[in-house]
Amino acid sequence: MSFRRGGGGGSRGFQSNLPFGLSYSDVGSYKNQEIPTIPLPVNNPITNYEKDISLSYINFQETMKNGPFHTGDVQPESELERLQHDDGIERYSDRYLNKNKNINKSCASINEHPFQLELFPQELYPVMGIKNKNKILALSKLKSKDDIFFNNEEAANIAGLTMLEKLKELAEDEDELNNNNNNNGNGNNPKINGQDDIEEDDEDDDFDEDDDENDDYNGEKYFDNGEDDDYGDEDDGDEPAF
Amino acid sequence: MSVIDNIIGNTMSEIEGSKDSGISNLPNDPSNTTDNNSGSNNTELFVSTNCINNVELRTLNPEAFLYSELIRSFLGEKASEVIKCLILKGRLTFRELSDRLNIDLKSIKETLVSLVQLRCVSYMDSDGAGSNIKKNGNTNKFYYSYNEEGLLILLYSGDIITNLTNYYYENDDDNDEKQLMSEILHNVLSFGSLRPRDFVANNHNVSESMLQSLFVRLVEDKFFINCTPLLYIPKIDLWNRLYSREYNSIPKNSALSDLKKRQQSKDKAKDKYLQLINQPSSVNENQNIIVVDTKTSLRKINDDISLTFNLPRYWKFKRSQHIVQFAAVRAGYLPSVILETALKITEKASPDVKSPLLYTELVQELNELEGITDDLKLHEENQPGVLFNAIDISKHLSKSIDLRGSIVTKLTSRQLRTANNGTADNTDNDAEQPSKKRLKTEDGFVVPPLPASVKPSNDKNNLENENYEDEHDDDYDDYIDDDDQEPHSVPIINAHLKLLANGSVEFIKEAKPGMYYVPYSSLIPCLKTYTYDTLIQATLGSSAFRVLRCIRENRLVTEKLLNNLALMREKDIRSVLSSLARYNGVEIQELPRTADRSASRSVFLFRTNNSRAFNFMKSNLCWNIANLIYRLENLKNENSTLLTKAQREDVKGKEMELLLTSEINQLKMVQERQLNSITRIDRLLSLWEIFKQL
Repeated sequence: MSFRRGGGGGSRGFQSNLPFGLSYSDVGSYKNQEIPTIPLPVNNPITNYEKDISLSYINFQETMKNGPFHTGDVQPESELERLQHDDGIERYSDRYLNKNKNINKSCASINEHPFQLELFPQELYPVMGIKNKNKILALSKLKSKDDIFFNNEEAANIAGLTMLEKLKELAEDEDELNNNNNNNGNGNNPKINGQDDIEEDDEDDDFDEDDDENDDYNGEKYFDNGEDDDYGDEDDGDEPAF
Repeated sequence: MSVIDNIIGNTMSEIEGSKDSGISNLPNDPSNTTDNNSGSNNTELFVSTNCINNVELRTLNPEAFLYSELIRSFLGEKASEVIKCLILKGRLTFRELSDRLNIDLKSIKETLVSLVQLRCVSYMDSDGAGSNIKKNGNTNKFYYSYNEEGLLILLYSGDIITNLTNYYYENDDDNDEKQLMSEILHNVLSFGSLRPRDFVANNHNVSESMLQSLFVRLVEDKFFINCTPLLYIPKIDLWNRLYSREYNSIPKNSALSDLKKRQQSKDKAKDKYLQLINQPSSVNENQNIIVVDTKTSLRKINDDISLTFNLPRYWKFKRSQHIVQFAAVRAGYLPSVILETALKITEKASPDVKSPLLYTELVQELNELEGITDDLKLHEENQPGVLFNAIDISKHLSKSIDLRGSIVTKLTSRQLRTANNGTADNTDNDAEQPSKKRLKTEDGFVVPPLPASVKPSNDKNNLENENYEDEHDDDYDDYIDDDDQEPHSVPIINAHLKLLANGSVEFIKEAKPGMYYVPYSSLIPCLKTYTYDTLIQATLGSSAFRVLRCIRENRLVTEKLLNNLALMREKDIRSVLSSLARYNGVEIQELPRTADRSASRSVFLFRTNNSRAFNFMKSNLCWNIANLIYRLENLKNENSTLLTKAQREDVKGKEMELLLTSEINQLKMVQERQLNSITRIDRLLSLWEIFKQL
């Protein structure tokens, strides 16, 4: 087949050197007319079966990235990049970092994997850690598939709420709690103001202690509405209150 | 490909003068656009992110693009560079790899060890003596080449784990065993090969007998095979070595002609080659893999055997899946269920999806290729274990399937009455239509219809049935009782099998009366054609589909003929033809009318070439899969800070409390896109494998 005169290739055959009686304008002129627009297929929503496959794939990929066969980057990191994550300063948050290669500590590199030597050429033996005798195969436990992603339902419900709305919700929760406590107090124990106050103070103190211990992110502790102020309740009697 | 070669050649010539053990510095190349500008003058020396950024280079070799991105996402950048170099260059020693990629020898060796362990790279020594040391005492050179099997195992990993787990545990009854099965598959795939005793030793909470039974099931079904050094040798090298040995073993002073010597060597080499390739199954049959535990008398895997995943067996499973789905569309749900049962029974013994001989150089000779295809056709029918009948299916059919009432054999008495009264529903009684037509003899005499007092339909129906029976040998139709209470009745199953055998697409063929087999050699090309047509219809429209089918049926058509066949206007057809030609669906044949071949006087003919069209579709799909993986990795890199934060141990599980709202939204978006991308990859894979593997 010769396309030299026939338009210089199949793709250009219709654009130039068309057969007698035809012209490019014939093809182009119908662009906006009756040629039906093709509705392109749209991806259907994910089925459960497809979701299982995807989650298995993601799990497997994570295992390989954290496994002994991961080879890393070609370029060694520059000094600046190394200092970004390993500058020699110990930090509190270091223990929470997910260092890829150190998860499977018993088999972090190919030196420690128990290979079948007869399957490899001899020239690769030096890097296979033949001298290490006690090699353990570090199997990976299959994570439950839903562990990969955080709870999306919860996220869907709460996503979009601003911090202000969250604080409002917290405040409403507290009010409900207080109301419940008051109702319980009326039903069961006779109220003595002082004791109530002391009890409330104790509860508040406990609440404050809990805040101090675990919750660094509770913005409320910085915003004290004065409910905990006991100064007004103290009956010194002698000095006027200011 | 030539562009990439030029780039490699240029960079190598530039660094030759200043070669170090590490990476040398080059002047900044304005065409390089590195992502991580660390402020130094180091430029990218490798054919990596720079060239990947260029869309044109990515399309030059879609498979190189796919496999390099795949390996990058699983094993890192070094492994990706090595694989890409091996795909583009064929085979290299480790020193040549180190020189081309400018990576130190130790890293190259470590990378090769990882890739060899996962069967992504195979190797062959230069002499083929089978030992590491040559006869003259020097060490053999080993040449490494990429092995597609290992790469495809990584690509299909999610598919394999989910499908095989569901294959053995369709219901969720045995959740613990299902979970164990998934773990076994996950670990064998992630390590490349695994000894069952190591797996058992690491799982103290589970009983050894249960684990061994799962391994035995997988080995018996041939999804796991013994890991031998033969799996690491490229098939074509193995063939070449065997052939040259046989040829060289014939004495030089032999009276045979060269042609006869070659033929003789080929025949012997073929036998040995098939013996070696099929060795895993023969070893299984010799029961070296499965042994009996002396303590428990239960079967277990031999402690010294290392098992690996058998991808060719998985392709048989995928082939069956595709055929069943094809049957569901063409023949209906119940026939497809029956066909699925038949395929499950015969899958293990069915011929390989791709014959091992097709990997050799024998395919270059037409005679040999025809011989191979003929042998495959014979094996489809004659191999033990490929024939099945209705009784086999009734034994294995799922209990939830009820076939009662699925076949209509004859008119019921109610339908007969309505036909005689003339209030018949036309759609019900096909048998009634001939009675309305008047028969005319050759003399012009018109046979009058029978009077109403005579009941013609019974006789006619019986006559018609008898004729039908005579033609189709339907002895079983007489025994199909509509009141049969048996949900898996053998006559009904037989009727379904006949439907499958006699339809427009022959899903099964009758080898002997009552015995059927699946004709893969004719069915798979049909499947490919239908899939291709569906893709064309979905992407280019129904008009393109119609034109394509007209051209295919008429082989070589002019435009005028096409107008009459497709019943479309000339101008519409031209635009459709141009889009089909752009996607290689249609080929154009120029028929010059004058000696100077002027285009104005030429006639253009159109035809289809299935292999070319399918190859283009395959490349197209391959590129799209690779692009999805590439974009997914880019997305993860862009959000790496957030993902690292989310994966911290103190943050995991408490994202709602510890992350900002914007971060939660971003994380949710990233995870959704990840899930969607992988689902799309899986959908594309199911199309790609039809053109690539089947």
